Amino acid sequence: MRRFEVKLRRTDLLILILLVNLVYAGEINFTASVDRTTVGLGEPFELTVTVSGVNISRVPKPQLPELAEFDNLGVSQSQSTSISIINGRVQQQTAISFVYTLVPRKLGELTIGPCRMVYDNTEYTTEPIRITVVKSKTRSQPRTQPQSRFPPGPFDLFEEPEPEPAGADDVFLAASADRTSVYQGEQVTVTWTIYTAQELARLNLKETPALTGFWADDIYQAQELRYEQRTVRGRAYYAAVLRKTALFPTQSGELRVGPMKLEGQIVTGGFFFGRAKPFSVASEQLKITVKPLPESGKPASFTGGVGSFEVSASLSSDRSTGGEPVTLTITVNGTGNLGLITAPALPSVPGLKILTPETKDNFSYAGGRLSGSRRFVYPVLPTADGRYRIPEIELGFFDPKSGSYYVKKTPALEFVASDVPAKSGPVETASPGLRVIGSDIRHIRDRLVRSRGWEQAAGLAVILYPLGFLLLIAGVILGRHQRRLQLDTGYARRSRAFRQARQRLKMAKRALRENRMNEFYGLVRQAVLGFIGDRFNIEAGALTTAELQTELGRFGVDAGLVTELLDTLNLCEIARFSPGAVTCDPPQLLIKAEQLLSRFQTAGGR
Amino acid sequence: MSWFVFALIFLAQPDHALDCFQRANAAYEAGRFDEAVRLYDSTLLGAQSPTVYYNRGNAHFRANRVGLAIADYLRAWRLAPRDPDINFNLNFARQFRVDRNPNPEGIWSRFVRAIFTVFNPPVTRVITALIFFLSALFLAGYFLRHRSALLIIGLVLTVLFLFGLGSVWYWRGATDRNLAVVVVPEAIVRAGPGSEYREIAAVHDGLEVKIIEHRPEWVLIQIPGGLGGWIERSALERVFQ
Repeated sequence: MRRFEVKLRRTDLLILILLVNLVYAGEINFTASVDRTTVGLGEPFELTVTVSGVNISRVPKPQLPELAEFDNLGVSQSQSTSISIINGRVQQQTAISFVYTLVPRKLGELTIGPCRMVYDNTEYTTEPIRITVVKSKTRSQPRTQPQSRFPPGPFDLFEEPEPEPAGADDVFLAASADRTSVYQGEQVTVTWTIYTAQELARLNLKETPALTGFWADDIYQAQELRYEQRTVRGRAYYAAVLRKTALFPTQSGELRVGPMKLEGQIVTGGFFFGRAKPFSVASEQLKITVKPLPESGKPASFTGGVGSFEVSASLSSDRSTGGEPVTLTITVNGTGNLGLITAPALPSVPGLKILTPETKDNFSYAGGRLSGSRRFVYPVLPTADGRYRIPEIELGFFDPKSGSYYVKKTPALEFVASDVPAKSGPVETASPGLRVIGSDIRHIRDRLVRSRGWEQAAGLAVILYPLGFLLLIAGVILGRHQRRLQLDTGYARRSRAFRQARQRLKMAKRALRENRMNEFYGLVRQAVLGFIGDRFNIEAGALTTAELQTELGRFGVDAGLVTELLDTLNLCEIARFSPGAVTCDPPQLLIKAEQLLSRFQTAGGR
Repeated sequence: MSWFVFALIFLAQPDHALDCFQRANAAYEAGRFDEAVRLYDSTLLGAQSPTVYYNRGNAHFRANRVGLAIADYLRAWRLAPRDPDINFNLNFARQFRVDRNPNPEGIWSRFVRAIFTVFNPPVTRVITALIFFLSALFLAGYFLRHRSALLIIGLVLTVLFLFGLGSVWYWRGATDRNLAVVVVPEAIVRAGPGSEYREIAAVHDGLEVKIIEHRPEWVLIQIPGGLGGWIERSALERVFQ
């Protein structure tokens, strides 16, 4: 059974590509703890309530008990998830922590009652916690700072050169550096020591030194003062080391270690009748000259290491089955600025996904210099079966003693992957925080491209549909009309009949205005007779009155209408050939003719 | 004086959008993705633009909000469907989802999508209407003049018009107002509109679903696999409008 675990924070939100599974609530653990059980009055401490379990989701916020004796300063939430794949099954172990910051309001033994939470219809409670609240101590350092890793012996602490007093005679604070000119990244150890000729009380750290431009790591922080007798310029003092810090410059140039300020009281006049006199001292600012690392000869694989180091690499296993990841560990061992070394660039290996490494440190200050190891742990995922070779990995360092660079190499490593699931499998994980090397989203654009007003155009374009339909209908109708004009002479005559007759009547009108009466009657007769001929497709001009009468009767024209027509035609004939016998006035005749035309247009069959 | 005010109104508007856009890009480059998102929001008040949606999608993606990123890439895609960057990032962001689509896009549907989304929806509508008008014109011409060339052109245009109709229809489905994405890390799909109903499934950030029915707090959705259920409304964001 092999396990693969990736630890991650909620903020990283590793997204696992899993199938949509029903989430089963597993067994869960519900615990509460505090970061210490003895606290000063008014001092904040942390209450951590943790819910953990397998495949849990959507945990409600736990209910805190009544906390009348405490002030609640707020809550923060964190989540860690570990995924294990056991025999192909995925288990997701999740721990969700709610960290409450509480401040006690009164002295004595206080109790934090049980916290409650209901999850999946089950109520869970935690054990009550007892807290002892004591009078607030004078605090000279934040509580999160590490305690001295190596409780230094007195000789250890006083190996620095004798400092110059800061001016005050009875009490002074001295800062000393073990060296004042270093390379960037080389360790400088600064020690702050208080010297006093009197008894001191109620010491209080006013100002911690500003350490801009350095990565600082405390070697020693005084929990209680251990005085040593020392003589400075002929005067006897008690001296105690307050703080000893390893500084690693992260930039070059003249860097400054800011002053430390301390205040307190000098007790004079013996034990019983003593008087307390307040005092305040500050250490002098220290100047450290930081030489930049030379540009010449800097290897490409240099990642910031200054000191003397060795590099090794190992694989957790030489075979991987079923797509399980193997772990590649690169260890940097030695003395120097281990905390500033970043992960080496790994060559990309086709078929392997090498994920972002986790850094694990094991530092110590044996002999006053930072030494130990920093390990970079890379999960390596095979994506297909095969034998993989991780080539030699180089890491460049700078040696401040010789003032030159050197390169260390790891041997090449090999492993065999078999039965890798094709393309998928629950291990194929990726997240924005844990990026697959070599692929990412494409970058944002600089040029603002605005959308043109196509939406409005699309709204307008809709009218093209009815227009198109009209066009089609018009095309069909006109086409049919044209075809009939060509094929059917009757249809052709009919369709031009009215137009022609109107034209003739117009001419007749003109003739009437110009008083050409003979022509007028002729044109009216022609117009009417021509219209009848076109309308019924007969040669009306060549027919006698009687023939016309029978012909029109055959077309089913009303006999009265035919009589009117014949009367009108007769009238024209008479007026034309015997002008003296005019019985009607010409405009009347014109109106009559027009009426006849329109009546004949609808009369009779086609 | 009045022309000056007029010019100010006309010029100031796009400049404001451009200014917002550039500030948003600067915030993005500096890694302040939430600020970038806010500035892209104000850019969109002044100008509808595929670029802004695309960039905002990137900002959401960098801030680990896959669902909102996918929604923005889809909006950008609607405006500029052929843009390779938008398509790449959309597909890339989709890979980061927890829930895998149970029926991924096959070759045929990819082909259909490729040929039907050559132009964005309004351009497609304009071109389709124009083609219809032209085909009507050529066919009407054929009825009048009886030239076979007119008939052939008219028929070809008619085929093109039917294709355009297909594209309009495709876009209508692809930009349906009821499409939504899950925008919370995890949400529970239930059998009814209320937290007392039985849990059916858990869906995760970035899953694209279709809204079937609304209630004030709950919506009925359909998950691509065909599964349906009720989900809290706040867990979803509509992609279009």
